Amino acid sequence: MPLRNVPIRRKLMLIALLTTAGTLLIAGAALILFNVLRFKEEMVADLTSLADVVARNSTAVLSFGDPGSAADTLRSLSARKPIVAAALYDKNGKLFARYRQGAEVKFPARPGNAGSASIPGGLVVFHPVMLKGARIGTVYLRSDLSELTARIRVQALAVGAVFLISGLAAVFLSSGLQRLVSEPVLDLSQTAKAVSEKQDYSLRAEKRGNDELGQLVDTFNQMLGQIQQRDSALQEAKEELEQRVDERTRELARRNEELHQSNKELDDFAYIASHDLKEPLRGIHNFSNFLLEDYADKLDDDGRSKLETLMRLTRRMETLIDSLLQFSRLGRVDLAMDRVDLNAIVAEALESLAITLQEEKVEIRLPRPLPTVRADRVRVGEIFANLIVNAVKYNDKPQKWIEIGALQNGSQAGGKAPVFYVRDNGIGIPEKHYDAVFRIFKRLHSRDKFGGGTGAGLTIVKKIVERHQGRIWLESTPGEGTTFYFTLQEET
Amino acid sequence: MPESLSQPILLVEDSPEDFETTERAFRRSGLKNPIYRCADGEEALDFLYRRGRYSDPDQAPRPGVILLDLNLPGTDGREVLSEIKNDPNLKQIPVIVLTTSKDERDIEVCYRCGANSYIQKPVDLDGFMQAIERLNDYWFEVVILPKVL
Repeated sequence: MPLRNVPIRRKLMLIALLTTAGTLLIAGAALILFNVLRFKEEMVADLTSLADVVARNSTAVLSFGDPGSAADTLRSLSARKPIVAAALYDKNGKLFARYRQGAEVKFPARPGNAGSASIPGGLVVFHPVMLKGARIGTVYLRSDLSELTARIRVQALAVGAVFLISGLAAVFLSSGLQRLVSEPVLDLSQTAKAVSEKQDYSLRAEKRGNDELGQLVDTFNQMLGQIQQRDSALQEAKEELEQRVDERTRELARRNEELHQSNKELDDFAYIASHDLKEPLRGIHNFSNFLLEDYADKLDDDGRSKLETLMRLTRRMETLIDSLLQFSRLGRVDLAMDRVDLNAIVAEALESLAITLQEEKVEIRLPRPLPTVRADRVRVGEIFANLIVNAVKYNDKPQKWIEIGALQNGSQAGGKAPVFYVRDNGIGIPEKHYDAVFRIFKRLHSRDKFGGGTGAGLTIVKKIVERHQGRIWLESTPGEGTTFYFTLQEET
Repeated sequence: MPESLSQPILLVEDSPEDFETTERAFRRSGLKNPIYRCADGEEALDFLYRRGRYSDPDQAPRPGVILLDLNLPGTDGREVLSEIKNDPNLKQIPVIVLTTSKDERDIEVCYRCGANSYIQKPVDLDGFMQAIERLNDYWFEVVILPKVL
């Protein structure tokens, strides 16, 4: 694991440990080096003073040329363990007497300059033997470094022990002290995690001191406070909004219910009224008829003509009431929704109007097959039949045509609902009458023109379209023709 | 069929104009039978059970055929029909329902109760005249009615 990914707790301990180890290593090394240097100086001083003692004791043997005594004197040095070799040279530099601890020790052929020198694995001293100011020989002493290495070993051991103990102490202390730094950081990190996981902005990090970490905790807590405040404000606003939406929805539902009720009452009223209105009307018609039958010989032409007008008017009133009845029934009866192939519906409508279409020599144009939709089969048939009848009826051209089709999705209405149309080359409708044509019993022409009619056809068509949640509208150019567009479902 | 020709017909019809139109249609078709009229359901039952102002049997002969309108004030035609068809004595009298209603439920209920025919009154006069003529042909010239006891 790279160091930057190590947890803070371990990082802090590692820092303490490495710092301690580093400083101890430097201090220990310096101490050992210093001691080695000092000890070497001591060794040189010791060896030099020993050489001086040997030199003083050797003046006689050198003066008298007694190598045997000289060897004895040198041998007495064997008590001194580090002395591995000793020699006495005469005034001519010739080896006079010698002592050595092992046979492998070589002696220099001639004495070197007075003083000490380091050789590999040891220390050598040449010291002059003086008698009355004249040099009569040289003492040679050689010491090994066994004492030095022993001392170094002891010192290294001591330093190692200190290293170990202080290392342990560092681990122990740092593991305690690192908490000063790591705990606030860990605490902060845990709090942040908890806040983020539980989305609970009421949590707070614990502040432990007034250092930078303490300030960080303060800032963090302040931020949480602000978020919490904003959150609760948002929540309040949301609740208020929900409540308002609820209120509005209830209000809307109530209004809708009222509207529904009054609509139903209106439909019921229209149904009952038209039903009850028809009965006396039939009576008037029948009795006018009886009058004509029974009293024809007693009436003159004028009387008969007036009676016939009376009967014609009752018939007209009856068709008006029938239209009203049909219209009101549309509002009362539920639609029988089904999958409906509009091609078949249009074909049926054309079939039922075949005689009229043939008489008027109407050309029927079906540019594209129509889709299959969910609708009430019978009612949609009424839509097409009514629109086709109007297209034939309000047409004074010698070559009449009607086009029935569906627009490509969304090209006109902007929605997804398919838009159907019935187009003709008839007399057209002035724009100011676009709305009026859908009004019940509203006619744009006198009763005798264009084959009469009650003026309820388009109102019924509109009602059927609206019962399908659809929409109907028209485009027209007077003298050129009219296109009625409609949809049969809610436009999205 | 002298039997059929003499059997009285009971017309239960609240509208006097409709009654007159129906009677006129029958007469025009050549029907000679006596025609009696009751204006509502209660009166019709009084007539059939010979009670109230119809307690005199001469005033209320047992009809050979009953023509019944469904929508009557008070006791309506459906109740009258059910009462007739539940009476062991009256149930053999053929009942022809003659109404403006073409409601599926009315048609079903009437036949279930034992109506012998269900005819929707044609709205136009010519159609109505024609319907009564056919009715007359069928019930009084083709059909053999039960004997009046």
